[in-house]
Amino acid sequence: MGISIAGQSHAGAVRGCNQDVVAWFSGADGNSALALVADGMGGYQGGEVASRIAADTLTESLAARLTGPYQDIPAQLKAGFALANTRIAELRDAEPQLEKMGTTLVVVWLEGQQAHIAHVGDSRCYLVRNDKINCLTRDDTVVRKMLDDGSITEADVPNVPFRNMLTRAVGAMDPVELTYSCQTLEYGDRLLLCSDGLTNSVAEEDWHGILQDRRNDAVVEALIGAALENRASDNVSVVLMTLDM
Amino acid sequence: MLSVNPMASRLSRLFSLRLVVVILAMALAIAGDRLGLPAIVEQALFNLLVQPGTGNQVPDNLALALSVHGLVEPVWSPLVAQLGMLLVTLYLVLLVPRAGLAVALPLTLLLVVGLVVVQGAMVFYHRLWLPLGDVVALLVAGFVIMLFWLQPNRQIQALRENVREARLRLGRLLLQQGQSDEVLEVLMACPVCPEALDLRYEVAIQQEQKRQYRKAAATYRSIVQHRKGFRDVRERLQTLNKLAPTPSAMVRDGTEDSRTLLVPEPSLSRPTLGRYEIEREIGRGAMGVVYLGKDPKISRTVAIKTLSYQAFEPARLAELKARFFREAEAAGRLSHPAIVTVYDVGEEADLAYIAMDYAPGHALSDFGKPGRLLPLPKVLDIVARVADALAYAHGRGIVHRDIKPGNLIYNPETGAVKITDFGIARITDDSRTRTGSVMGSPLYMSPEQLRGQKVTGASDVYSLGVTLYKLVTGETPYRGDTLASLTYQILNGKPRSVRQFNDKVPTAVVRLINRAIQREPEKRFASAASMAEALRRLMRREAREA
Repeated sequence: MGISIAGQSHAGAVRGCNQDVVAWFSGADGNSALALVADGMGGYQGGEVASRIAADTLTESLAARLTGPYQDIPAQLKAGFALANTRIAELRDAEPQLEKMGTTLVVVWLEGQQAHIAHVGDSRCYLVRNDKINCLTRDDTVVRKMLDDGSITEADVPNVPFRNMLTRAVGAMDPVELTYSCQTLEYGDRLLLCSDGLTNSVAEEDWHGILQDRRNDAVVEALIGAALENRASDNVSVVLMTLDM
Repeated sequence: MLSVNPMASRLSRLFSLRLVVVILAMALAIAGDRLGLPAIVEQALFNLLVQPGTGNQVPDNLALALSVHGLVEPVWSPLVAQLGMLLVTLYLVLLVPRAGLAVALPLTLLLVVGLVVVQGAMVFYHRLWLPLGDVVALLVAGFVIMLFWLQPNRQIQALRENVREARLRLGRLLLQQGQSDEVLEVLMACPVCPEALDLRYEVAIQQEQKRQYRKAAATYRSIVQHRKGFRDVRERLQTLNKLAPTPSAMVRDGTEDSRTLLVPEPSLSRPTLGRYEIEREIGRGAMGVVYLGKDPKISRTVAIKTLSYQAFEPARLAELKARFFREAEAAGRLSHPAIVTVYDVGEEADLAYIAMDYAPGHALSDFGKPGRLLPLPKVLDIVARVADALAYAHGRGIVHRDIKPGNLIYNPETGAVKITDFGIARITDDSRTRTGSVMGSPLYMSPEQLRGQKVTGASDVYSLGVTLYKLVTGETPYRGDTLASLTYQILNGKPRSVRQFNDKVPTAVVRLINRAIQREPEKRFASAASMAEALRRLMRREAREA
């Protein structure tokens, strides 16, 4: 039994800079792990700063607790998000050229078989179980809302003027509102965290073949390779963790 | 590239034929007696002056012959001869090249004759013999040598002048094209002359205008090196040194800080964009700063919208620029009294710009608040004019896409209204606009636009309907706290009633607005023209009732 993780972040086929950040940590006992993906935004100066602050803050406030007594994980996640939110907002107010910055953030805290998932924005967490891929998060985007209320159909999505508009972002709202969920995993289950660079460039149907490989690092490599082959215009980030038998 | 090495030119001048003349003069002065030529000349002179008619009978010893004829060589005669040689040398080396062949040849002959005449006069009247043989020999031999030097020298001079002129002309041409770096390169090999300094000065001014202040300072310094008090260079240099920018303001291409083009220094040249002089900043949009500019050639005032590259990721710029120029080109084809005319688009190192007619007045957004609303007949007239202009543009296949009070400029003095920002308003880097405030609000956007469906003239009709709603009530038909809820309202909700905000609005106007803002495009006015017509009908009826 144990948890294995691999991850990678790539600038993509068009962009010169990478505003995505990935990070993951395993607890010393091999029973717990933390993984995150942050996708920055707000001008090309601000995006990198915001996602970096978010990743660092979460790492700093949560990674140390992986080995401690696990108490109220949802509250700790929430505190981590709130701290990241405050830090980004403070820096944004201090530097005029960073005024539009903010970031998405999806975090998974795996504790035994319990996966605690928190997210803001449109970076996603998928559950991969027996060849089935299931998205556990719901994007905080205008487009998602429009799809949900039936205003538009999937076919309209590429042309909607506000298609890149988030309804929530870390650093861009006060207080930050996050979505939390808990999922009980089975042995052999995998959780896939990714930024929208992957979902926009590689269709979910195409993931199945790649996910046949049981080696996490090979899968991550292949997914990013597929995104680059499709000329991914955005940064592409993937973290894959497996609850081993 | 042609370059003149000063050392080489000095050497070539040292070994020129003029030097040969000087050496010849020195040789004659020092060892004249031992050389054959002056003796022959002197004897020839003697035969000519003292023994005319004796033919070829040449006395072997001149001194003996002199005493035979009772002639005396005075003590000071060597001094005269040496002075004569000096004068002749100066004449040959300095005067002959300046005078040119046409003047020098007769002058030299005259001098030879003159010397002979002087010698003759001395012999006849004073019985004195002056040893002018050396002088005459130098004059004749030296002149022959100078003849060889004169012609090629003239060609060299002509070539040199030619090169200088060509370089100056090339420099001016490059300057006109704005290639100031190339001008300086061309001038490097051009001999320093007043014209070249003038040109350098013009280059520096152009660099100032392009906001390349460090380069301008370097150019001014190069002028000062050659001439200290050249025009106002010293003052300009001082001002530029004061301007020394902070490192953080430097941009990769050498243009300094593009957040604003304006420099608070009256002693520097006004910055320019293309051929337009920037007067002042008049606004800031999503794309960049808007300036009031002037075309100095026809003294036309223009509004210049800039798209600052600094705000965008370099990798995406090409696509963004292409869109910017495409839209500007489309807008440039429109010519209508109620549409702001696009004159020109251009590009600088750090930004693209679009020069358009400067419409004096206020954006109608200034008149969209309760308490500041314009009288109804005025509003109807304005909206009718806008509808006319939209009908014209739609007829040419161009949809505005962003009709709203902020894009309509109204001049209260003349009553004129102009639509601005045809096509270009929606140009933003849409890849990363993720928070609600960035792209502006969808308040005036038609439902089909929000859904990402095909946008036609009917979409502009909708937006104009919402604009009319705003101008008579100070409100918009839909409201939402967030972008998502506002979008939902526009797509699915029921518009708020006009009367809810202004119960004085006549029923016919309410009906007209409601027709323009129908959710289904086909239920709206069939065209902007028919909306304009309906507005005019309504105006006539209102006027009758009033």
